[in-house]
Amino acid sequence: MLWMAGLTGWLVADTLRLVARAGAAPVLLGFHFDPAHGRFGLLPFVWGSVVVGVLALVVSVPLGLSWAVVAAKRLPRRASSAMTTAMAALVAIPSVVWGWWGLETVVPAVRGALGGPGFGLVAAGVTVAIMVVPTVAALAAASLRAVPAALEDASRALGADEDTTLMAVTLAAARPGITRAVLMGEARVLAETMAVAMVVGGQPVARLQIAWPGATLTTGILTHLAALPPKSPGGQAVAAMALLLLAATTWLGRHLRRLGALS
Amino acid sequence: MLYGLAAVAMSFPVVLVASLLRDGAPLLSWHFLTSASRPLAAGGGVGAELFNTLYVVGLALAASVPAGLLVAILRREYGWGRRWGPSLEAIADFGAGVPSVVVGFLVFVLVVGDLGWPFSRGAGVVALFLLNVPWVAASSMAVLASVPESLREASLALGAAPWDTTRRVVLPSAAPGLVEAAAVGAARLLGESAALLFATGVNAVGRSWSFWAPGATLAVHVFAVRTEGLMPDATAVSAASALVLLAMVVAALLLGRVLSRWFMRRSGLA
Repeated sequence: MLWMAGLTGWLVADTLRLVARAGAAPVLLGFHFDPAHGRFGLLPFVWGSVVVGVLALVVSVPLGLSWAVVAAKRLPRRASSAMTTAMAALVAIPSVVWGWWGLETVVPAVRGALGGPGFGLVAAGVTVAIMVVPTVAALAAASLRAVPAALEDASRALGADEDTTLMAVTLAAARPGITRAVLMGEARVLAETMAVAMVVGGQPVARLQIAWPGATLTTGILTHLAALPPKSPGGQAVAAMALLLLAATTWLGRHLRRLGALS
Repeated sequence: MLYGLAAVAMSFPVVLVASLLRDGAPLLSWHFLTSASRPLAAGGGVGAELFNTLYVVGLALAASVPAGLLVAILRREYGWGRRWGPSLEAIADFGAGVPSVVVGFLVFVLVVGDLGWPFSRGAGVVALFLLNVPWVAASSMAVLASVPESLREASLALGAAPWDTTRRVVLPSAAPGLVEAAAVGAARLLGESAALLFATGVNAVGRSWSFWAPGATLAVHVFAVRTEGLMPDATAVSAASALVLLAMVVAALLLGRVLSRWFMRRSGLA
């Protein structure tokens, strides 16, 4: 069970070995990942993860929250509880299945709208955003349901209409839970591998045209782990990606815990 | 605006299932579920992948659920590792958050690389075990925490030993939640592929019970066929495999629900 410490230690050791060999700046700030020529810049993967994470946030938050509000506050009780069950099942849709759909629908849509090959960071961000909408919606709906009815009744008694009550009272009261829901979705986005790998195009370059092929930390690990032998500098670069990824998800987890203590 | 966005959000899963049905439903048949896949010709099935899914996920669950539950009981009920171990929250974060591709990387380097295991069902079981133990431990601890402290105190005050208290008081009242958590864990493992791609490999063989046989599960098959399948009906095969996978996930969740209700009735909670 306590393999978590061992895992982290092993990743740290490998990363340090790589940094000792290639230098910290070229690894962390290098734009080129080309292990065959001794370049181990991790920036392309970090950039990809950041772009996908931000896109996913922008798309999934409005969709997930609207769904949560309708499910928790606008539907009659019976439909609302059926919706809760449905959301729990939708959260469990495997990510390869979303990736399958991303190839089918999102990639051609991006190709049509933005040009280029379609495969790329935009396609990846949109696909995973849609994937985590049920996650965000389910968790946010749970926290909206927990808002005491007395608060909302008080707002209505003061003459506020439903929309004002929603914005000023319900969402405000549920804010820690909603932030938690959004961060949980984001953690799933950053950790997602397969749905991203199927649509991202897999080019380890950092460029500003985000509709074009790129790579993220997770797909970087997936595509390079078998190609680069474990004890080589390339294998250590894969370990460094894993360490960065673990650091990001752990950091999110820490924030989640603080929010959990609040609510 | 609100209803519009909500409708858009709800439409995506519907569209997903509709596209899967459009591409995959014509292929679904007893033949598809039982026959071997054909790498280069149309008309193959997923018999071996289906068997591998049940084999790998079944063994991984059989090992990881008791192990995770044991960790949760020792940590939560007996207070083991309160001083030296990671905090409850750290275990919970780790269980929920460790990216599965990192587990896949670890298994590839240590089990396939250092120990020299082949790409096999065995390596897949190890990967899913490592992925699931922290998850089961974290969710079991959450369930155990919801059992009222007064029940434990009453049992201890009547002279029951800690183990009897755990076995006869805490576990029965936690059982519905534990079963439900295990079912969600099973659904997670059924759909897992990032941790398995370089542990089970992408091949599968039928008519073998060997631990060392190639172990591609349905989820891995969906990925492999969809991205690099060479059969002319690759899109349809991957869609039909995804439908079978979805059916298994739903079945696992339903089974968990039914068992959870049964435990609730048995202990008089509902």
